[in-house]
Amino acid sequence: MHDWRELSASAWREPMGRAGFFGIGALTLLALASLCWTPHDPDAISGASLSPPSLSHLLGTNGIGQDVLSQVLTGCRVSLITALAVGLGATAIGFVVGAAAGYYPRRLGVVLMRLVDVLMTIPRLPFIILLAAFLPPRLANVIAVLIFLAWPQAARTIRAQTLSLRERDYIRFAQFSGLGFVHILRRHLLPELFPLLPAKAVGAAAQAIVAEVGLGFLGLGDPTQRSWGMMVRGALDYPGLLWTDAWSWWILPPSVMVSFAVLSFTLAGYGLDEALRRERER
Amino acid sequence: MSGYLLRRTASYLLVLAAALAINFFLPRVIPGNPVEEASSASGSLPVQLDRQTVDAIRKHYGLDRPVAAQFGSYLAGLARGDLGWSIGYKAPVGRLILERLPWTLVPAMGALMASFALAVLFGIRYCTRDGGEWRVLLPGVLLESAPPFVLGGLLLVLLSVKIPIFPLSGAYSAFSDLTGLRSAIDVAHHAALPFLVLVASNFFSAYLVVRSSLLLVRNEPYVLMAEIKGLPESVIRRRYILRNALLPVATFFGTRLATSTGRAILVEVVFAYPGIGRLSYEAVLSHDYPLLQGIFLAFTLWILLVNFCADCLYMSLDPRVREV
Repeated sequence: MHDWRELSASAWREPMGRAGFFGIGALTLLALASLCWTPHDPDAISGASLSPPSLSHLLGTNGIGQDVLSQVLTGCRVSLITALAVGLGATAIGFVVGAAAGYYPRRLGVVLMRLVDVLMTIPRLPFIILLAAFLPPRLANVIAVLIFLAWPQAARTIRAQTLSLRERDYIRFAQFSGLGFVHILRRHLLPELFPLLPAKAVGAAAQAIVAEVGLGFLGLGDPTQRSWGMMVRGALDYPGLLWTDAWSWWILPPSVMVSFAVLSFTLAGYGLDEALRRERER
Repeated sequence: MSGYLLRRTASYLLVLAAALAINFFLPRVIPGNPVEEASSASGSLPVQLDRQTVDAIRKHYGLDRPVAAQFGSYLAGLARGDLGWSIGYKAPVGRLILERLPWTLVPAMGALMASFALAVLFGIRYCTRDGGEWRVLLPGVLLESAPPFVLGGLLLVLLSVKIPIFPLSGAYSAFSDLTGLRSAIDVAHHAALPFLVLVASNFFSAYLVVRSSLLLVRNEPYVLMAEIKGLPESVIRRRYILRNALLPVATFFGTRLATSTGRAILVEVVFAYPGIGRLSYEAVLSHDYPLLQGIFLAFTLWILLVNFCADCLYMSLDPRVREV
């Protein structure tokens, strides 16, 4: 059995992991704050176009006079929703499929792992682009596509662990007593495998943020959601912008935020991985 | 052919079949079809098409035939090298992709080699002794966190606009009649920034693999033995540690090479570099679905080709694999 308190304390003790958790916390606060308050309406024209940072517009305005800071804050929301949904969705599916494949390794497992191999071999970004181009541009669709491509990674890890777990005596015993897969999954496999899941979820979330921003940048995001990728796209499309100073308040803030978000999730994932590694060594 | 290679080939064929099925069925499952397109093409007002016109359109695109027959003729077309007709360019998709292919492959492969060479150099420098490694890890983590197009955008602003050393976009100077060496320099000049971004975006993951491999080998008993024997440090590093640590690195190089073309997409878009990635962006903008599908297939084929070559190479390098 895993010692929960020990594991989370161990991830927290790792300075890089802690920095990551702080980063995610800060992003969450910003996203929550943007729900009830932004300096201006992010969609409204609230000033002269391309006005430099000032007291009323802390990060200036974009090409049509919308407040950049407000847009960066609401962009936080899109990225975090994507990260959360893809992280949870992909790990949940990966867990169930991976456990099933490890528990029934002969027929079902072979079929499921073939599917995992195919999904992991298919070129990721071109496939995302293809699906996003065909599907209606909605955030839910983007998230669904990202989950579809992210679950196999979790499934592979979970399957490997389940394969070794099912040889253990207490699982054997549970099988002989006639308990079904669902019961064993819930009562015996889940507690053993659960600690692996946060690390997987955080990793999937980091990739999802990059992918969502990339899609927004390619113009394949949800046009009703203001994402960081769309902000950068809009800025680069603005004629002659690079020759003004406006890039420093229009392109830089969303770019820095994306990098900060990815960095936070990567560091948090590193902290969780380290905690698991230390537990294994003990 | 050994069992190993046979099994790998079977799994690649499965991936290929999946990609073909995706290409074929995706437009058929998703709402929208040529009839709707034709009835709304003339403007915002939908046009009421009569029965005969609808039938004629369906017949023209072969949609009146059974799905299996449609799939069959799709495969037959592919076998002839017919990837479809680009709506946006009014040209065969296969030719468009072949024209753009070298602009993606050459920088992507070059950048991959450069980043792995750098990773090995830094790896030997910092992983065979203790301390000072943060000098690689810190910038590495930061570089890895910035998505390539963000990095590209910043370099573009700094090195093409603020300090105009490099050209803004494209792969060669337009309307120039440079020849020979001058044109090669011109092409390299245009490729420099995309290349740099690709190197930066590949470096850190390569470094991490080199690092874990080196650290594993460094603790092997035979390295300790060599140290006890009093061999010079450079010999131990090069012949005892590096040589044995390189096999996992080579494997990782293969997987990165397979996915390198996909990672180049966003970079090419930032620099308007005329590779396949840029082509797929143009296809997205003009809703050029046949082109998008062709590009997806091309990326898949590239991955399978690289994986297959890597398997063959791996088999000749590691005799243990052959017997499995």
